This record gives sequence, C-alpha cells and structure tokens, in this order.
Amino acid sequence: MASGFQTIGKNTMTRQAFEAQTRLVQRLTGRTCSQVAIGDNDELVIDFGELEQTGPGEFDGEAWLIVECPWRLETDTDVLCGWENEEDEIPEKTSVLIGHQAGEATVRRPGFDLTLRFANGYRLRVFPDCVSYYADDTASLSIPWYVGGKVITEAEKG
Amino acid sequence: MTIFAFEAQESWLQTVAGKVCSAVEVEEATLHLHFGATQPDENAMLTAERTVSMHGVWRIERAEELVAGSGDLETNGAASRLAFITGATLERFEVSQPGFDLDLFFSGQVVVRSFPCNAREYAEDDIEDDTDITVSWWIDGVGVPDDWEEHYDPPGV
Repeated sequence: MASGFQTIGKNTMTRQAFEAQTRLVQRLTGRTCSQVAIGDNDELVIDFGELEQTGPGEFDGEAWLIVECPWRLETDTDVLCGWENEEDEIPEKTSVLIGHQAGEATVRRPGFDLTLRFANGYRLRVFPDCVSYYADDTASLSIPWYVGGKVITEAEKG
Repeated sequence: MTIFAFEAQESWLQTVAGKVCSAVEVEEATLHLHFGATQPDENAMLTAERTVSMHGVWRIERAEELVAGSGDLETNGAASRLAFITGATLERFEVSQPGFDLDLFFSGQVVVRSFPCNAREYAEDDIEDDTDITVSWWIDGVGVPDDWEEHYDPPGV
C-alpha cells in the first residue's frame, strides 16, 4: 500500500482521529502480514491478508498499517531495525514479519505510542514525535500512523 | 560495543536522580537538560554539574498534554518554550530494554522520553573507530569522563 499523508478534513480534531485509529488498529489482530515496504515518502507500509494488484507492480493487502513517524522493530531482547536505519536495509530486516499474524495492539496515551505484537515474537513500536499531531484546531490535520484497507468500512473510519 | 556505551551512560543516571533542572537548551536535534550550577562554555553553550542530552527522537509531556517533540520543534525559541522544566526535580528515571528507551520523570507530572531507533546503536561487535559509537542519550558533567570507556567496568567482566 503506497500512500502519502492521510489528511483529515477541516475542523476535525486529531485526537478524535487518533482515538478512531486506536479502535481500528485492533482490526489487524489475527491477520497475517503479507508484505512490508517503504513507501515513496519513506513511510513504513505493512500489508495484511491477501494481496490484490492495484497497479503495475503494486499490491495492497486486505488491511494495512502505515507509519510516518519514528518506529522500531524489536523482540524482548534485541532491536532489529528502526526509523533511522538506512532505507535499503529495512525491507530485508522487516521481512521477518511476513507470514506471521498480528497479535495484540496497545496504544499508550497521551502520545498515542503504538505497540503491535506479532505471533513470532517481534513487536513494532511506534513513537509519534510531532506535537502538531495533537493540535485540536489545525485546519489541515495529519496523523502519523493509521490503518486502512477494504476490511475497514467507511462507517468504521468515521 | 554501542550497547556497552548505553550501559555506561545508564550507570551515570543515578548521579542525576533527585537533582533540580537548572536550564534547558536545544541545539539542532539535541535536547540538553542541565542540572545544578551552570556556566557558559567557549561556544556559548552551557556546561553544568550534570547534563542529560537526547539526540534524535524525543518528546516532552506534561500530564495529559504533549508539550514538545523532536519532529517539529523549531530550535529558535525552543528553550523558552521548554523553560517550564527549569526548577522541576528529576524524581526518577526508567531505561527500558531492548531499545534503551529513556524516560525521565520530573515533579509537576513532566515526562521527557527518548526513543532510540537506529539499530546501529545496538551493535555488539567491536568497533574499530570510536566515532562509530552512537547513543541517543548521554550524561555529561563534573567528574563524568569523556573517555568513559576507560572508566566503566561492565557487569560480569
């Protein structure tokens, strides 16, 4: 899934968007990672479920998670790679997730730090580091991690 | 080796606990929290009895409020925005594994978090060049040696 910022409409509060994403990220639990990539804007893109071709050489999963802020992939004892690693190192390192189910997703407030666990013992840690994400009155809002895909309905997106 | 560097830095954190933050500086992507008496150095930056520095990814919270983050903090004026930390006491700290995430808990419900996210920081192999040793946070101050590796006995060695 390749995408830029998810821009949310004028006068929408980013905290509401974060809360919505906190609910939606639970939909990844039990789904199998099918693809991991770095997008055009250096975002981390993790696809889940069956892949469907959307363009020449482009495939989307049934569900996906996009991360546009600092992240780290780790086990209980080791760090595999992270946001500041060289871009060409990341696809190979993150490929350990492919074929494994997402488990529990937890979100720590007030920063909306996401931890997504995988069945093979890896976990993705996401650490938003821009205060502007949390502004309540910004005209054009963006949030640093979000989920989507055809398994998530427009009604669920709110 | 860089894990060794993190462990060495962690060993100095105990000497900062309980101290009052006396000044805050932001230098490009690096946040400096000073403790105790300060004085300017030759570059007009402060030196202090103790300084905790964070480079890279960090965030400052106050209760349920996000106050500042490394991703969108402009250096100009940043120190004045963060001046509220001055006078707060470092009540405790946590270093979480495996990432050596550092959380500093101050009085007034202020929390400063560092999130290291370059796997190179966790290399265990010997590094030939000391400049290859990278850590996202470190301690400076009176009695803290620059050549820390000469003064640190890692556990179990």
